Amino acid sequence: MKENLDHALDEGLTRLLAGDEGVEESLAQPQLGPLLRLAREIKALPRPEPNPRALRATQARVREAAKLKQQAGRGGLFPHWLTGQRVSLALARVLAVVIAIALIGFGTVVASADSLPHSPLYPVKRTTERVQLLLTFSPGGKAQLHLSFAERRLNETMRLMSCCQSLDDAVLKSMLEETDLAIKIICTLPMPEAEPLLSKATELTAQQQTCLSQVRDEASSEHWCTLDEAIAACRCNEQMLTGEAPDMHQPVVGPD
Amino acid sequence: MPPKSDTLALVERAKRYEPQALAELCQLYYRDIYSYIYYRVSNVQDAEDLTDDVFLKMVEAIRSCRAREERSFLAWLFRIANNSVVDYYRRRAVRNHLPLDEKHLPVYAGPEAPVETKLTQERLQQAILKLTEEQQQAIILRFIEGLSNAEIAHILGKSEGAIKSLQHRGLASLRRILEGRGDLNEREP
Repeated sequence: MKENLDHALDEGLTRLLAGDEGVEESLAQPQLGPLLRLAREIKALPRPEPNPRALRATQARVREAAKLKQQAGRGGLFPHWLTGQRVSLALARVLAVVIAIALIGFGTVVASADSLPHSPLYPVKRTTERVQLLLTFSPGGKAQLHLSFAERRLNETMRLMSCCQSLDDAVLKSMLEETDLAIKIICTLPMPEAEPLLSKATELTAQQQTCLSQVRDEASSEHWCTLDEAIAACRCNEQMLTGEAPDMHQPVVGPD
Repeated sequence: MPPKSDTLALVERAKRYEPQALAELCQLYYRDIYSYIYYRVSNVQDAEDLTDDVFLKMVEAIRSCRAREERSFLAWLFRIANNSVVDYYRRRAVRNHLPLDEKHLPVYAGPEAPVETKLTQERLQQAILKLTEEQQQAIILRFIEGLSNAEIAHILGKSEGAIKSLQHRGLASLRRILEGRGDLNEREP
């Protein structure tokens, strides 16, 4: 009922505001007539004339504000459609999320650096190493990385034995593979560039033999065979690097 | 002064903060905004100050304006004006006791208008000020500023049906006030 009345009044008002003669019919209705006549009186109210001086003063202030905005805009980094309040807020949120992800990612990578096999962070450590290799394009850089990774595997083997009295064959195998990959690359490098890497690889293979021998002393007899084979492989590699072995391009692969 | 059909071109230039474009928009719409604010505050000085404030806010917010036609730009300006008036009353907190001295009265119907006409208009204006805030907005925007229900609905953030209802209740309250059957305490929600 009330909605019908709202609607009827609105129809009458629309006619009234449009100057439609049909409004007379609505004006005659007892319920709508007084309201429509009142609306007609309101419509007849004069619109106040603004003071021209006030208008000019406002225009002057608007011009001044525009100039300030222009000056501020020239120093901006982004186009105006990227500087709206909503867009800025959205960009700030995206940036915050990206920074948070980067921080979490970086924190995880740092935390994984000391992880051992069987740790939940160990796959992160190995993945990070693969990414490092993918992002390194020079052969010398790749050789350097393989040597570093081989050294890490050796440390992991020693720590595993020290803390858990266990030996991880996969880690040992990975150490030997990384060493072999480094040696293969070093052999392709020209001499001035290969020299420091050769020296480092030689030191590493010697260190591998020493450390694995210590590990063997602590390990149970079931691991001796594996460790002996690994030590022999390291010795072969060292001989190749020092020129005692005939073929440097055929590095020895350790235990499977 | 450019015709209002050029408004959108002016708005585009105004978004680059071209002083001339902003000044022209000010020239085009000053009277509409001043008139609306005047009927809301019934005070020449305050209406001028608030109108000034509206156009400075226009400069601040022009880049967020999504108007695709002249009328929607005007509706956008009325929204700013409406917010300014709301802030004004919030600051003053004396909305129900506005003085209506000589300074507050417009030059109604010209000096040659009959005294009876002036008195009727003054009474009507005072009565409008006694309506609720939303009723005032709906009545002034529709009957004095000549906006459509759809435009008012957009400005006030309501449906067209709600605007029709507001107009109905506003006119009914106004009638009661003018007939001496209603006062400030009888406002409808």
